[in-house]
Amino acid sequence: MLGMMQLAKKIDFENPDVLFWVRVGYLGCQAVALAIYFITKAKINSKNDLTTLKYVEPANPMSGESEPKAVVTTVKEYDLKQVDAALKGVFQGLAMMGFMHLYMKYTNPLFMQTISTVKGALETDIVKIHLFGVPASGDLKRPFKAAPNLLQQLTGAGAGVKTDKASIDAAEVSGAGGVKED
Amino acid sequence: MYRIPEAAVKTVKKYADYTVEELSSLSLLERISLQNWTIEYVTILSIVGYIVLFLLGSWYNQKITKKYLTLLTPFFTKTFYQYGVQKDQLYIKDVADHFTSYATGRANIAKVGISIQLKPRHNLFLWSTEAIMSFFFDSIKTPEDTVVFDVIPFNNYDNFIFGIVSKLGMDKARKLCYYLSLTRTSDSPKLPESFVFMSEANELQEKLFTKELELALDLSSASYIKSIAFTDQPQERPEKILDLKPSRRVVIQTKLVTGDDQLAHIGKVLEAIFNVIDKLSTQEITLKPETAKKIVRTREIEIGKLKKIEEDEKQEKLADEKARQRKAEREQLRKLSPEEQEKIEKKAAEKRQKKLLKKQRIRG
Repeated sequence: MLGMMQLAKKIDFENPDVLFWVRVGYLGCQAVALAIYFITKAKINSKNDLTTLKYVEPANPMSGESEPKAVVTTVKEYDLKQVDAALKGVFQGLAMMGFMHLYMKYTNPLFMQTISTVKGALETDIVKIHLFGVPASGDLKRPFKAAPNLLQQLTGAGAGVKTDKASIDAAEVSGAGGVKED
Repeated sequence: MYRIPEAAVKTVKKYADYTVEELSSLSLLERISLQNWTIEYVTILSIVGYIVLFLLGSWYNQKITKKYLTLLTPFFTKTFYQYGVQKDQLYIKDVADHFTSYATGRANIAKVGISIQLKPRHNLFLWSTEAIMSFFFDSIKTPEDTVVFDVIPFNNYDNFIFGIVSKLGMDKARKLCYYLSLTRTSDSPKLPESFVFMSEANELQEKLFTKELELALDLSSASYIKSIAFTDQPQERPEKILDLKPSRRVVIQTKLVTGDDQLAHIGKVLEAIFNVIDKLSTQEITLKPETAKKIVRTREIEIGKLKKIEEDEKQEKLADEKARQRKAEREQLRKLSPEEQEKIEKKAAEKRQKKLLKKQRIRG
């Protein structure tokens, strides 16, 4: 990353030729990242692993939840959700960059983001499992343990997902579904 | 030197350039044609385009509904007296993307409501926006052609929740249905791999999952049969205790499919469900007392939760009321003359003193 920053200083972004290639590079890398996710998605669909997966998600106080929520899903559905989350991330990045580059005219972040999306895609747990055939055990055992984000660290909330039988049994029949949305 | 050609210099004379005399000498049509009507043309064309698209989409939705309900006819006319909202009317169009039909007149079954929700084909903007946004936001549903059969039995039987749910989207089903989120999910060797049981007690799966129902499901039917659920609880999470009042019904949620094989499966499922209801109504299937107790326990816990919420609300209201009263008293006090204020304050102080003394006496 630091190396990239040093490199970015040396590049003349005012030069239209350079600018063109930086843009092509960025878009190309986004396309590669998207392709990686779509291939993973196709792999998950073709594997069609319908093993039932149960876990308990911690309550999210930000969206007004007070109780932990049981999730009953299949391996396939869980994996697809992971890929969709990653895809959303790519689209968000694209939208952000669109704003930064086209509206605010910054080119530097465009260059910085070029490699990191592909790197991020290749390092995603779900891609590791399906594209590189890493066995889904140890750190990669579903459900994945997400590192607590800043807000969670501050509030001490959200200790992560639970998979022990006692908490699943308690949360599964708590009648949390069908909440009216208006 | 470059010379501008004469033809280009001579601009087209606009409406405003004409004098009154010139205008009055023209006929009405000539005068109208002098104006620039481009914006009006574009507007009218887009309105017409929108209306045409609306009618096309609306017509197509209606066509799908008609075809689907007609294909279902043999499954209903076999045992039901009436299929369709009236003798000669198969369905009612509620809005351009929602249709309702109905069947009645069978032993043990009060009615079967058929609710068809289609993609908003009449509104391309809505359709495309929903399709795209549903990827980014969980709260927006992906537009889909779905059919919900709501089977309401005639007789009363035990309260319970028992569902057979497709594994594809079962978490969503649990999130959307209050009654499903009261159940425990379990795999079973009796079911195709793509389905799970969601039931309140193991006994339900043994007694309600009949051979007939078993034969009606296969591995691929999970892609269009979303859930089959016996329930006495509502789909929406109750907010008042009254909402928890049991109303028994069987809800079958499916995607709208028109394949012969797929329809045959749906027909078999419906028939199997009707037969199970027959058995429940004639007390051929009854639950063990332990199971019934367990089910009642779940209901009681839910009632307890709502009672607690109501209690909390009451307390809050009471506290509010008290605060308002105190404020009003203070306000009144301020309005009085200084002497009177002093008097009242003295009285209050005396009262406090007395109370304190009383407390000390009791302690001592």
